[in-house]
Amino acid sequence: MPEVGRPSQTSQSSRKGKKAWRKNIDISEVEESIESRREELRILGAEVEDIKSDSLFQIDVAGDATILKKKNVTVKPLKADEILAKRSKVPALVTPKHGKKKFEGVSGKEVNRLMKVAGRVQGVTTSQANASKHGLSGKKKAYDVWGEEEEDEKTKPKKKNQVEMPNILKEKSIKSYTSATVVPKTLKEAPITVKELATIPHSGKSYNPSLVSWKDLINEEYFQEKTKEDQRLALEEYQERIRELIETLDDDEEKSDDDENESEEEKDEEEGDDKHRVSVNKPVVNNKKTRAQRNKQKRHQEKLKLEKELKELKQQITSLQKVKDISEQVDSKQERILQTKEANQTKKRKSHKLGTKYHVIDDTLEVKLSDELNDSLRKLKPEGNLLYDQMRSLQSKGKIETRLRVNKKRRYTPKVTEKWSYKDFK
Amino acid sequence: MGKIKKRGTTGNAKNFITRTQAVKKLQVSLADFRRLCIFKGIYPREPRNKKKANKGSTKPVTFYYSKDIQYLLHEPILNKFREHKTFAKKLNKALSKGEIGDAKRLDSNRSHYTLDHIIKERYPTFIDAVRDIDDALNMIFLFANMPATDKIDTKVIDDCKKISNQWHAYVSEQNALEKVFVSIKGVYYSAKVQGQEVIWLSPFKFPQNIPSDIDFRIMLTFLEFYVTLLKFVLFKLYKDANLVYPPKINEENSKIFSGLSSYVLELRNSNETSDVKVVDGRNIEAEKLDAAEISKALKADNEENADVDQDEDDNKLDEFESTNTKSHADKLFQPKNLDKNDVDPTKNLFKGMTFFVGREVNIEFLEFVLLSFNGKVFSEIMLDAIPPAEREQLLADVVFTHQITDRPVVKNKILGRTYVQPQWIFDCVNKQKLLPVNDYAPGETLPPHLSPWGDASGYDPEAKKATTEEEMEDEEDEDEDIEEDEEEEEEEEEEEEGDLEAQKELELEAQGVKYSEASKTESEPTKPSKKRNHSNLTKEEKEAAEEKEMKKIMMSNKQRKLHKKMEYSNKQKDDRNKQLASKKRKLEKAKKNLSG
Repeated sequence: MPEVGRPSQTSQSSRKGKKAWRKNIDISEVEESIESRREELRILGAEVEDIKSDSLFQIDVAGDATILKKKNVTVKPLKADEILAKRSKVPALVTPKHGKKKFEGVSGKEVNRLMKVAGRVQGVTTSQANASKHGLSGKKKAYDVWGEEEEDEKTKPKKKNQVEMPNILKEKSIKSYTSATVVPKTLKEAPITVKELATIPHSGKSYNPSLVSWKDLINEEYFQEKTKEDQRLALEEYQERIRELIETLDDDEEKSDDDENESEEEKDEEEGDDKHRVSVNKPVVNNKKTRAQRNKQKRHQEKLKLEKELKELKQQITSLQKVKDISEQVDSKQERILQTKEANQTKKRKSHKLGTKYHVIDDTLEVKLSDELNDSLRKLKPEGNLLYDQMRSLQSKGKIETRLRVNKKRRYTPKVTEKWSYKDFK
Repeated sequence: MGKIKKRGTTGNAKNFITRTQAVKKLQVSLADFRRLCIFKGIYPREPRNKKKANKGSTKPVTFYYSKDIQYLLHEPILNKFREHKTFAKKLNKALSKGEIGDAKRLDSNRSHYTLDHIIKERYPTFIDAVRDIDDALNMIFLFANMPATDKIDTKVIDDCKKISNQWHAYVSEQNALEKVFVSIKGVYYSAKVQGQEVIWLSPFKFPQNIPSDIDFRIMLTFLEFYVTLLKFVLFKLYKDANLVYPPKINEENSKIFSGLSSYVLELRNSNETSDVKVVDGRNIEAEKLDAAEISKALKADNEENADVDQDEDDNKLDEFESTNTKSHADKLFQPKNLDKNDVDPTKNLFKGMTFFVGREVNIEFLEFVLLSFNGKVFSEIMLDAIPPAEREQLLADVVFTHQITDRPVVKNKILGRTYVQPQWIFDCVNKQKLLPVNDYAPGETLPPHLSPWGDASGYDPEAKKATTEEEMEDEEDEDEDIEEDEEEEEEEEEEEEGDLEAQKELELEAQGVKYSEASKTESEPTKPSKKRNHSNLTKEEKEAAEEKEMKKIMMSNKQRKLHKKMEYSNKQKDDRNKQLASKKRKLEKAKKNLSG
């Protein structure tokens, strides 16, 4: 039984006045009885007087069996379970649920979507926002585009009262744009194939390939990778050589030891200067040319111009003498061009570029090594990434140009300046 | 001297326009311009002389035909893009003022662009569209198997899933599937739709890693166009096949497994239940067919199975008998195929067979392939999902002829079922006949899964079968050894001939007669009849050969070398193919001798 009543007061002798008397009167009996009432409510859910005696009591007819069972049960229930089992039967207070907030009859979710459509959410494009509502195919139902029945239905009056569209409106544009009359031939031209693509998969790419075709594939891929690697290595070597050359360009081979010592001293001095420099920034270099330099340059340019003119004149004279030969040559050349035209048309493009400075995405290596091959479909791990494949096919068919994501770089090194904080004090 | 032309008024300078110029001309954002180009099929071009096309600059720039761009000016969608811009402004204003009701109203009243007129314009006839469907299918199947991310919405993926399933449903209903190739990237299918071969790749259901260097805006624009295209193409295909589009979805099944099995194809203009074409094997409606039809179906099946039995090997006979006598239910599911039986026997490859597909096998690929060849499929996954009482009844009714399993050891084998690995199905489809199951039993090392398009150097054992058979009939009497001897003799003779001819040529030249004339006069009467293959060339052939020779002379050194290389590689390929073909012929002969 929990403790009832007020916390005990300090003994107070005085009971002067009505208030003091009331405060110190002993009402524990009354409160006990109220608490016992509440206890009954907790246990029975209603007051005892209201409950019919049928539901309060029942006559135990079978009795004995349960007692026997209980006797056998020796496991004592846990204290925690006991406590948890004591639950009030009075139903819990139900607080009214808050309905989802709506602004002017528009739910929060919808508002969020509108924000996306308006382009106010970063990283979400409007087309993405549109797709999230209607999907990709839009609301319009599918119909037979290539048939002609449906088109007629559009122009027909749908209701009785509706008037048929007059002929003038059908012929002349009533829209904000004029419909094109002539489709240019260039529109029908197929895109430029930037790189040859195999539509049919290599037989060695089977999940359970025959040994011959698998070897074939491995060899093929090996040669491709080998050439790539060789090129890379060659480039690296070349770069290294260039770097070396640049580094050794300033060194004089006949430099004496004294010079070296001197230069070292100079370096030390420079470093020392660095420590005591006024500005953190690099010193501004004046690149202005002197008048003498300018004059020299001018003279040189004039000389070059004269030489060029002379050369051209000479060439003209010689070519005039050769006119006959040239005309013969031209004729023979034209014939040759005609003949080689066929070969040129089928010739492969050397660079896999179109419109940008980037190549089509490189082929990914899609092979299984001998230890990865197994003939079970269950254990198969797929190779390659189809997203790259799709992109590659779009690029090599010339449908789009290759573009790379380029992060914005700072164009110039930031200058460091001292803040003139003394100006803050006035 | 002609009139002096002003610079930049004709030729490359006039015909091409750079991207920046185009964007400025159309007055749209770059993003909108790219979308427009993708929708309309306007591709980047390459002028022959970049310098002339771009005012003397040789920077790598994207060019377009200026006529294309001029044509874009009249595009209704361009106008819609502009309208969207104004709409966005209004919406932004309303939102920033907090007038959300107004914003909502603006959004609900705005107009969306449609792509149907573009589809009609780019593909004037239906066949054009079907011809160009490969790319679209690849893209849609790829996105159908992608996880939804912040860049790809669930709606988009659902759209792709729906369309890919509708496509599968159509192909399997029409029995249009021809080839299957399980590769390490995914499964390649080839089907003949409207007389066109369509090849598409369906990826495996594995989580793909999504690369960051792929531009999803472009991909999604393409996808948008492709989805619209396929929607219309599918509508037309369904209409031509007299089916209802979009097909109904069996809710009950789609909860368990949202694949092909939940699609119910219905005939147009019919309300009777008997007309319901059921792709799914487990449809209760189909079981309630009237008795007459059942007997009809049974009869047809018995006849057909008798035919099958004749074709099959002896070891297969037992299984077929066991299924025929008991099974009733499995015949009822394919009322549609009764008429088609006579048309193409290869399309009924799995007819009358009921497959039980284990949990470990990918059901999607198998279901599609089996249904396309009129098999019947029950997957373990689906059976697990239905209530036990119903399942037991179903298992009692249906007799499974095959169980497809991909485990090394199968416990609790059930009598009467043939246990095979999934590769059996694919190989059977590619060979167009039922292969012996012994090689494909669980735990067995499988024979290699060959590509139906032949191996890397172009040798296709299946394709040449017809021709080799004809040859076989001709050569049946001769022995292989004799043949070979003959070939050798011929070769020797040829060499001798070559020497002789060269000598004659030299002599004639000394006399002042042209070689071509000489050969004309001499070649015809002298040659004996035996060497007709080599020496008795017709005039036309000879002329062609001479022309080739002349062309060779005209070639530059570089070209000649290239030509030589090409000829050499071609010859090698041919030789290999011939060798393989002769090997095969020999093998077959040996087989025949053994059996006969």
